Amino acid sequence: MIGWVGGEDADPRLESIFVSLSNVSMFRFFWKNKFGKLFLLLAGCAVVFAWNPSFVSFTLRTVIGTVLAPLHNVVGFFGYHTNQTKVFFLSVGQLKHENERLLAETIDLKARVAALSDIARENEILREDRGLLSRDRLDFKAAEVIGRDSVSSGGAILIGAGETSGIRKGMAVVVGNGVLIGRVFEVAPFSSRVLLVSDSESAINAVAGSEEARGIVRGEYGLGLVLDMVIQTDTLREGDEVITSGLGGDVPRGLFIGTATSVESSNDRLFQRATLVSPVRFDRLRFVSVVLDAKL
Amino acid sequence: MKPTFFRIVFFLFLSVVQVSFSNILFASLSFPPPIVLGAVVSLSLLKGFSFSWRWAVFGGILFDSMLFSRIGVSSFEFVLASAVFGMLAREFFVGYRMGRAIFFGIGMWFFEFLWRIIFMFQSSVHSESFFSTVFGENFSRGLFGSFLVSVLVFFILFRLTSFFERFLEIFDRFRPHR
Repeated sequence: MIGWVGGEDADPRLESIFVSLSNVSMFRFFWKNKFGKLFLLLAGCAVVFAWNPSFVSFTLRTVIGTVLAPLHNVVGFFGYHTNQTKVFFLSVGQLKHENERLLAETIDLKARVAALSDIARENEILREDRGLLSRDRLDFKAAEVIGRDSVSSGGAILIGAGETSGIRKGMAVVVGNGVLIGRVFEVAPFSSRVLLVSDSESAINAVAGSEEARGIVRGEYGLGLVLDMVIQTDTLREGDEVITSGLGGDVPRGLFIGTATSVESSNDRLFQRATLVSPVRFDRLRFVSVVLDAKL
Repeated sequence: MKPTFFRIVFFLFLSVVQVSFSNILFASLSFPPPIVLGAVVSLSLLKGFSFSWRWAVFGGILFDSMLFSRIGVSSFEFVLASAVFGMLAREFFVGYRMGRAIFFGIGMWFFEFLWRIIFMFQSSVHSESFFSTVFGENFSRGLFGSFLVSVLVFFILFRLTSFFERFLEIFDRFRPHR
């Protein structure tokens, strides 16, 4: 049929119509066949994935996120409390030992808080003398965890606060008074996706210990954290506390990430690396705070 | 129109349950039970691939949008699962019975397991880690638990879907043109 309209004096518009028609009939031929249909559908999905139309995905996220936000909150609430009940029943046997350990830790921490508050007072006086702004001026926005992504390599959570609450991409997300758990990765009007520090794609600039050994904190596929890329001349010891360095992005300095354990050299002997123990259980998060504005 | 509307609501509900309930409740397992995938597979077993593919595409788009992921990944997985299980059911299990849902539950778990291995491979290439390390770190805990929970959830989900489809058939019977 294409040959019939082809030729030297053929109208190119007419030819293109016939080509389109033949494509449609080829599409129909494929569509009628079971495997052809499967092939077309999979190819369609792959094309959409590769194309990644941001306008379409943003609109869908906005609409779906807005409509389903209340349902997410209710279902998330039940999910969290069911999980807590499950955890309670599974850990009944360990509660006595856990209680004893926590009591000992509380006494230790009380002593450390007393010492640190004295240092903090001294620091405030010195900062005032030098005309510097006070450090502990973090502006938080509290948010509830409304969902979890289990497909990503280590974990991401969905929180019930978004653009309308002043949240932007890249902002630090903490629990308690400043334990870093991740960064805002995507934002919709009423919800946001937070990439946890335990995700393999996460990389946070950090410093460790009193000697300020510099490195990058990476996730270990949801199971733990590693302080990597610390040069051999820096001093890194077991028990060093690792905090954010404040370099790059919206993550302020001084957010606690974890404590270093088992320091070792990297395979190529160029750097040191340490496994970190975070005080946070990433699979039991309920409320988090987004650091909106860090006045340092 | 009404059955379509109810199915949309059904998939919306299941997606929310997976993201906000199941993924939180079973966060300690290797991977939580794939509820939306289970619904697509159930629909495929009950009504065939020619019917379930559109719900596989819809469920995938919904799921990806909810998780802020790139649209297309879940649809690809669901369409593939829908085709595989639809064909399996038609070729080998004519005269389908409820007890066989467990068999398909196991099959669905293996499908999800393989899908995650492909992801892990891609992730290990991306992060320059050894595939064995990534594999071990991901599946070192809660793999058996994940298997048990997924099969059980699929069994419940299959019953729920078949009940739901029987309920929707009432609308088809009372259509004016029939």
